[in-house]
Amino acid sequence: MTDSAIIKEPWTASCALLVFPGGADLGYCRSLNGKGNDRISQYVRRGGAYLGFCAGGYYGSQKCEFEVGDKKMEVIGRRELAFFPGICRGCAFKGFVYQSEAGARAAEILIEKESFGALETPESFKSYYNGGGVFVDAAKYKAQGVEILASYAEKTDVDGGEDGKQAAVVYCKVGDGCAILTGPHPE
Amino acid sequence: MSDDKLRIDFLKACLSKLGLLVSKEVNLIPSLSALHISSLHNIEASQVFKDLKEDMTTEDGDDFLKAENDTFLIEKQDVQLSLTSLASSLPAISSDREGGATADQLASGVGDKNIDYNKIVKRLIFHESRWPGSMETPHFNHDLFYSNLVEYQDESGSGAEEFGKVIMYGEVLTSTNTILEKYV
Repeated sequence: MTDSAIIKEPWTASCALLVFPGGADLGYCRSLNGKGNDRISQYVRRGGAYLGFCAGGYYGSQKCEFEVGDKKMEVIGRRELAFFPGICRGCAFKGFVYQSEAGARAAEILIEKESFGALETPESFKSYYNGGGVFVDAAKYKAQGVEILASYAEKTDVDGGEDGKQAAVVYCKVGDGCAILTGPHPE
Repeated sequence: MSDDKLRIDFLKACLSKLGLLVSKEVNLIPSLSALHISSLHNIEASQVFKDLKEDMTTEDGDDFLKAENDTFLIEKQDVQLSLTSLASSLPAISSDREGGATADQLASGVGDKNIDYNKIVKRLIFHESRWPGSMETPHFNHDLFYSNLVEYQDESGSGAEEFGKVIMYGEVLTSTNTILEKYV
């Protein structure tokens, strides 16, 4: 969907799932901050569903901390949607270069079976990863409806939080709706 | 790669957790269907055809419309398909597929994951004498749509003379963003 379609067109009534793919979340901010995010937020709160992969994961968190310390690539800032009420910090694994596979890898992802209840899931799988983040201290936000769905098996290059959990995929309850944000690319 | 199944299973579980209904089928990409242009009085569909005619090119007796992103094979309802044009544009055809003059859906590219949908020729069928029937569009009832449209137009004050008069319907599409001209 184009940004003007998100802002102007009546998509919310018949939308089952809004997906934000990888790329660069600054681009999303530029076109959707304000009106765009208002509509998206309202859509989710009223019972919609948001699925953010990689850049979409940073974009859906309260704060984005990307490559802090690297003057060329650093992106730090608050994000309006804040479906995940904390920081998405990246890169989980160093080496990311825009529009390239230089920092890409197959990351081992461990699934939190408990979070899926009766739904069948595997124990773990390898996922394409390129530049995504860790959801810092995700376990702390349980009371706010946040569940860790999966974590990075290997030690990440950034600090994933106090308890040592390196949340790679989180589920967040948002009003009557919900969001799933990811660091890697399971899609 | 066995990991691919694990990855897909994880994704399915995530989609279920988001409240979506996830199909049990393994092959997830449905085959592209044809696009059907019809209109309330049929004559409008003929007019659209006439308007587009000057942009069409003819190759081997078939009319094509080459747009910025997609190429369309132009067909008129009830006229025999040119199977050669179709065959050359398909990624993979299963051997037991019926010769399909009335079949709406092309063979699905099940074995080939890397289909470039931009390159596949899309069928664009003009319905100039009657609306598509249930054999042609099993998932959309054109009769019902148009009768409801007439009712709506008859309602005083609805002001809906132009709306819905000409429609293009497709069961399985690539992207309306590339097929339709946005700023017309």
